[in-house]
Amino acid sequence: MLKRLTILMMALVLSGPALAQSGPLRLVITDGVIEPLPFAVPTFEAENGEAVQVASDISRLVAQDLSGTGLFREVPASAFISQHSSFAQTVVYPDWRAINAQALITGAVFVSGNQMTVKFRLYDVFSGAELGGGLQFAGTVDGWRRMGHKVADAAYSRITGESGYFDSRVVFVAEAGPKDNRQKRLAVMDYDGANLKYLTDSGSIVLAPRFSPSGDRVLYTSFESGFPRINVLDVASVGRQQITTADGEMAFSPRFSNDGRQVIYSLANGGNTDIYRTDLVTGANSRLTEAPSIETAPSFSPDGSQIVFESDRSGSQQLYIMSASGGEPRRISFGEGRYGTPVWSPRGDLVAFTKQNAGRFHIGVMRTDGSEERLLTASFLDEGPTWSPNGRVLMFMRETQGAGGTSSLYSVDISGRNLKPVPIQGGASDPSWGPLQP
Amino acid sequence: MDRAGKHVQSTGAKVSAIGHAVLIGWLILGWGLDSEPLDFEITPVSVVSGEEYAQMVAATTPQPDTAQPEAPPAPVEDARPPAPVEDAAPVETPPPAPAEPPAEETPPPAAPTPPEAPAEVSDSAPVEPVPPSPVETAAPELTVSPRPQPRPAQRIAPEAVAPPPPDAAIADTVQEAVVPDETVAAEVAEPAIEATAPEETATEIAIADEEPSGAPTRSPRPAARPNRPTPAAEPAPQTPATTTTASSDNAATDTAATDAAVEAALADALAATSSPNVAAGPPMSGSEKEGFRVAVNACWNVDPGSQAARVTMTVGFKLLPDGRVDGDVRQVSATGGDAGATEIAFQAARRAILRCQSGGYKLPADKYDQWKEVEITFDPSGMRLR
Amino acid sequence: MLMSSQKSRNGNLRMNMLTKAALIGLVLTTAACTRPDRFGGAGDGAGAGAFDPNAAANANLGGANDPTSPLFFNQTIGDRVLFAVDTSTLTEQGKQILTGQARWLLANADYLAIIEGHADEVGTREYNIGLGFRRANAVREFLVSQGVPSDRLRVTSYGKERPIEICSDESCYAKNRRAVTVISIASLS
Repeated sequence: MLKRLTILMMALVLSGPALAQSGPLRLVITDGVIEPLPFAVPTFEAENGEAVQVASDISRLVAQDLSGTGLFREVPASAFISQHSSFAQTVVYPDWRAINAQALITGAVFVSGNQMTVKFRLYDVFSGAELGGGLQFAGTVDGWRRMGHKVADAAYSRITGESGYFDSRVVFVAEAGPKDNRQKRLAVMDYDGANLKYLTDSGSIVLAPRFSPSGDRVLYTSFESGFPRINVLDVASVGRQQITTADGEMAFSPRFSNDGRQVIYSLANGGNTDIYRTDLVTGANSRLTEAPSIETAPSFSPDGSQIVFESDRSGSQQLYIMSASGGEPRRISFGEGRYGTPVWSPRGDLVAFTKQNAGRFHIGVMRTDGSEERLLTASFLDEGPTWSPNGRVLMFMRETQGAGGTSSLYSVDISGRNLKPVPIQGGASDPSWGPLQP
Repeated sequence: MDRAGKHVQSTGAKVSAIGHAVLIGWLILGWGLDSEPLDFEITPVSVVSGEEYAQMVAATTPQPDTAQPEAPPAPVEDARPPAPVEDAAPVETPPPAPAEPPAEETPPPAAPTPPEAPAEVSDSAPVEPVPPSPVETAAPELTVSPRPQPRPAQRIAPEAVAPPPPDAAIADTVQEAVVPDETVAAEVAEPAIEATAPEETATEIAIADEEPSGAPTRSPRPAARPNRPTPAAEPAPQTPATTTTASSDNAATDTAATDAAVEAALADALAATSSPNVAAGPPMSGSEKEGFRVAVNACWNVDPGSQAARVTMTVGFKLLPDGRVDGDVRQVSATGGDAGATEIAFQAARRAILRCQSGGYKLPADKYDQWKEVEITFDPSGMRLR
Repeated sequence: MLMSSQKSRNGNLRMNMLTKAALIGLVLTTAACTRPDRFGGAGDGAGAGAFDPNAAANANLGGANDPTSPLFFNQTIGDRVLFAVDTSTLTEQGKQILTGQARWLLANADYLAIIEGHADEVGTREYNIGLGFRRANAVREFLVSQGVPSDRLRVTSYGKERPIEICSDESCYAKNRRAVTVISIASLS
């Protein structure tokens, strides 16, 4: 028996290599590359003479939108091997593969008077097939930018699997004048700085506007009366009115709830500032925090069940999360420095904030339990982040130092890449990113 | 030795002592253990055209040197193609003036290159699209000039790479020939094949607002080795059928204890081991696996801000003996995301494998049995926070 | 001028009177040199009720020597107190100034006051409104503790929106961290 066992052992050992090959080769890869995806947008076909200019404009806008994300890189037309000038023609995939374009966007535009239709298709060059079906949009020629943004959104979402953010607007405070006599007025623009329109005059200070979830109204703090008050403004009609809040000396820092029916804000009384809620429909008020400290800058979670806000109850500004109906808040920020202006991501997973530490300001993100804090920017004064509708990009205000300092708006991807300014004439601050437009 | 000394009387001990001495002596002296250094071609760093690479790939023998092998880094930029050949010899000729402007090139490179060499290198401005020079000699350790912090490159990869020469083929397979010193330690050693100029990369995402400066920390090593006679060239490995049968039987007999089973196992095992076993071979080495991993991850494009970056995806596929993927890549398992994110992660993994095979992954043919089925787990968690 | 008045000590009484008159005249002509619209509003006091924050600038009855004038309040007693970084605690110097303010307010019962709180630029916008409010309230509480009826006092805060010094270092920041007591006439509404 012993001898047999010994021989068995030997056999097992000798056939060890054979045993080891009973499963597939397993590898773990943890390092990849982060590289913009090359794409090509041949000029959209103009289906009639009047469409020539706008077809070219829309093609360029689509390319700009995608390249501007930092996730895509345009392969210039000068490199094209085959020209895709007709929307209906078949795609010669090898020609596009040869120039390393992995995505191909083609389109066609038809104009009749002030009406316009835009068609587009997206091709996955690597797989040699169309990605998703063709789409057609209809609109006015004046709204060509929105059409271009919609095409870009469709391409973006099909490739990345997430919704886009190009057909959206941002409300902000347009600034002019020196630091000790700053003229401020509310303004709204496309996310890329185009189509700027003023909503108020510069007669009094306006601060920190916030879009409603549907993008039809704007809440903001106004000093018209000499005391901070909350106004709501209708974007389309530009009409505005003051909101009746709970009794208090000053109300500021207002935000909409996710259904647009309620407003949460800070109310100051007797030296103390707390967070309150008012129902716009019923007029009912309720108090959400009761602490002898400054509580402000609240922000709802996407599902509306929780609120994140800043409070200095611990001695310095920190971030807290509590239930939307009030209750015991729990602190989520624990790093060095001070944290403020928290905003909950539309994806629900992150909170963006302004952090002050060692004389510098940063825009940062952390998970809703406070972990994985990451700083995305650093400068003399960065503050007030706002999320893009898909939770991928943050826009914020950066102010430069010194007597001649001015404010401007910047955007950055949540990975920290692709920091760039938003092209606006003049000073700008306090951005609030509205929703994707229907 | 002492023990051997004590029992010097016994024959067995003598034989043992002699055998030990012979073995140790052999190992020390290394007879028959030397391997010749593989031939390599030397080319200037930043200017190699596509045709040149094709030439280098095709060639399996070193090019006849047009100048000394140890020559100074021959004028990389070659507004004057013939110049390198001449200048290579008279090291002292380079005009001093042009040495100044391109600051990054002037600091003398590593030891092998004579001090005057940099001047030649810097004759024209750094990276520029110029006609290719004939294959010139340049020391492999050419561009060792100090590189400041990584600049934010468009492409982020584990290793930092300088911008490629504009004419170089940016290949999907980021294979870099192994060159001594300065290369990132994790670089592949063994299955080095043709070297292609990798795209410019940085090792990390440059934090917004940090001042980007200088070039990445490493420069490309275009020196290429000719294809060594890879296993792929050999005839297909023998079928490992018997081996696999044997292994499964052996596994079964682990639990069985009957004599009959043991007998059967013994018979099978002996049969298996007696077969040439070309297919299974010794276990895959770490560097072979590393080479495979590097080949795939160069095409694995991660979008760190996306939902898909939270998904750990395992895919499986089969390989043909020449290293190409047999059939399609299938998803084995995934954790961490919803359906949409998982689908995107799967597509990215699939692309990585299919795009980077380019003719077949370079894996040792004699171990085909070990890699004919592969499962790769793509885990982007480390990349998210970079 | 002072020198000339000293030289003529022996004699010319008229010279002295002339000097004083000239001084008073100078002060009177420069008394209106605050910008009525210094806070951006062109006297837009809608809805403020009895308190018109922009009316103070127009109230220049009497010169700085007139202890009942707001100008005296602003320039002799001092209309503002400063604060250290991130604090709303009154300094000793601040308390002295405020004691003077309280006395004046009690002596001149016609006037109301709005206390404006301010902060320096090194902070986020909405928090700074809250901080300015705390500072203004600290002033109010002190004045009330000195006997000023609280219905004559109101507070507001401009956060970091209205700095008076615009350089970006501590010398300017220190002057911006302030609470200003602005005198106004009780308007009959």
